[in-house]
Amino acid sequence: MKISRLEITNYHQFDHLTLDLTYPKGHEKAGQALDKVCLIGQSGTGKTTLLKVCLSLLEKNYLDPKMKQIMATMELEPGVELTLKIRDGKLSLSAKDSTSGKSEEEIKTLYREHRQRYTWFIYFPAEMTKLLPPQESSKRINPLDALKVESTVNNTTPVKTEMRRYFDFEQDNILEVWDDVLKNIYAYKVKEVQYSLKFRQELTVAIATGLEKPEIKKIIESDKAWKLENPNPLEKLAQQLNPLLHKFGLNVKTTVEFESIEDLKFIQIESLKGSEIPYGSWSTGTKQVILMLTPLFQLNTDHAIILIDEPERSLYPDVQTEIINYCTELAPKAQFWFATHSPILASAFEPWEIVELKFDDQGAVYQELYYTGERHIDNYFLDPRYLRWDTILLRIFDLAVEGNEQYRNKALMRTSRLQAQLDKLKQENQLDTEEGKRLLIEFEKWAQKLAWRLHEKDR
Amino acid sequence: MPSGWPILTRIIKDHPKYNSSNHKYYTDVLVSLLYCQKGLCAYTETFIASEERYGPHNFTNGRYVIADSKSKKEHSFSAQLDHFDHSLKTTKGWSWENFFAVLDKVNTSKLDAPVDEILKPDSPDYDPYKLLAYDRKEGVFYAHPKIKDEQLVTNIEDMIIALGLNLGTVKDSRRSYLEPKLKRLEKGQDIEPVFQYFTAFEMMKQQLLPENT
Repeated sequence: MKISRLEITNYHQFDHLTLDLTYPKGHEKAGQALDKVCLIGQSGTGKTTLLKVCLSLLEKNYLDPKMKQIMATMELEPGVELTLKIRDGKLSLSAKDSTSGKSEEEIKTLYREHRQRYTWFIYFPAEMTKLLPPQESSKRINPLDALKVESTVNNTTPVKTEMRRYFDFEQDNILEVWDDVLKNIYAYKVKEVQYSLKFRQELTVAIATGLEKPEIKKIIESDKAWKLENPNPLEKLAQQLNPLLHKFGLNVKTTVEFESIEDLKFIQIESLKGSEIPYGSWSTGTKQVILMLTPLFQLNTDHAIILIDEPERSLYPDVQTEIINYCTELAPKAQFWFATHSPILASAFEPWEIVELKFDDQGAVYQELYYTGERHIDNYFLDPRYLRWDTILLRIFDLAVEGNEQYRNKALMRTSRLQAQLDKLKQENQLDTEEGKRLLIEFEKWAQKLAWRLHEKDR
Repeated sequence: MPSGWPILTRIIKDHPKYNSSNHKYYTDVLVSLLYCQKGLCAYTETFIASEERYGPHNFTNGRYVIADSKSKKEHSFSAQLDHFDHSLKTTKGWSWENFFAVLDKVNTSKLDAPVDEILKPDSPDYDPYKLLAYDRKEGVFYAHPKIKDEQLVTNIEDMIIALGLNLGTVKDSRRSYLEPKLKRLEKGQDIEPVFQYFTAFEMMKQQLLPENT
């Protein structure tokens, strides 16, 4: 499920905004909805508002009575489209007969089925890392008592028959949302702890009662068989997250140690040397990576729209270069909406996937287009994938200056002058003089400050 | 200054303390300056406005008529009134000699920077070809390499920065405007007359066509 067109009239910053969210002509996916959308723009241009508009199109709980006129086209599957209209805060659906031969009623039925059967959307707010309460790591209890408590809770809590259709990490009941994300990991941990207690008990009894070696071997064999039958979901999660976590010197902890209920409930991490890092000591970057990537891996995202506000938060540039690809690889069939201020993130997008919002002279927001004439890939004059970081800042993020001008311009003036003086000495064959050597040393000193590569042909 | 502006002349002679919040004559002075400067930023030589918008036909009795109309619909200029020497604002707030129309970005970046008259554009001794040189590749002005006095070099550099000659946007605009013309000159092709960035253009032209100098 993907949004392929959005029209907003008179809502917050938007007087009238129309976004074509399909691949342009000449693209191998021409006409299909974009796989990922990157929202950039000055603060206040409405990036987060756009994410919230998407939420309101997906779930009526998010509708705002101030939404007078919003229209969107949603691609349920290629060639099957649905029109969603919000008028005065109320959502309605309509569908034209599709190219796939489906009638309006069939399309609406398909839409309802998708909503019931699949994860519908996942929303990560910008402040996500602050929303999860700290774990009570100091609460240590007897493992057996813990299991007893868990067992009682499981027996008295009504079994949820309805799956969670959407995951909003800004909601008040954030722990419940995480419980749903991590339910298979939690279930495994409880099962693993129960089993290992039983296994240890059997083994201890076997050794204490002097059983023959074959009997002990049998118990060990059955342990191996149990592990094969019950694969540890943490192992798979670790495979996905560890390459990125290694940059922070960390690993996902895959063994279950059992000192408190809290140990069962959330993901645990450890240093590369194997020391556990308590949740309270996680860096904000670590939290950002784990809290954002874990749901993408754990949940079925095949029909989901995933909205992430400021995914670059607290991430060092080298991790930012990889985070978009990480996300999209974990949820290859989903449509992603990223709102960002990061030029590094923007470099991961095709130019037609970028929605740059700007204020016009009257303060109204409009989309800056990167093409002229027909919307065809050949007519795009900006493509962040080919640009250096500094050029992305200058050309796409409209930074008017190349750096700290007060210092950089002074250095440029100095080097230009020294270069001119050296050129003159060269013409006069005077480079080897004391003056020439002094100027060259001075030139190299300033050139080094400017990070010039002096071996370049033209320098 | 164009003739027929008696009121403006009187204001300037009296030059009361400049009050930036009182914009009564602001546009009159600004547009008059643009006329004197042929629509260019006084420091960076960036083209700001065409004669149609700053010419004498826009004035009646010394006032910029569009600014004075009831409709209040006046031309907008990406220019601001700059006091070359900010320290004169209180004592000679309306001194014509201290006024220049400059790019708004130049004015906001200059603020209250101390100035040296060495690069004052209307100074009788001002000769940019002796004080400045231009680096085509980097698009920056710098102190002329023949100047040996290091203090003078520092003063020139400080003024280049104060007057915004190497501001990022100015640099980009100047480079993108001049480069196609310089490339045509290198190929011996004719070019359209230059209407901005004259100084940098002339410096480059002298390098490319030394026989013309």
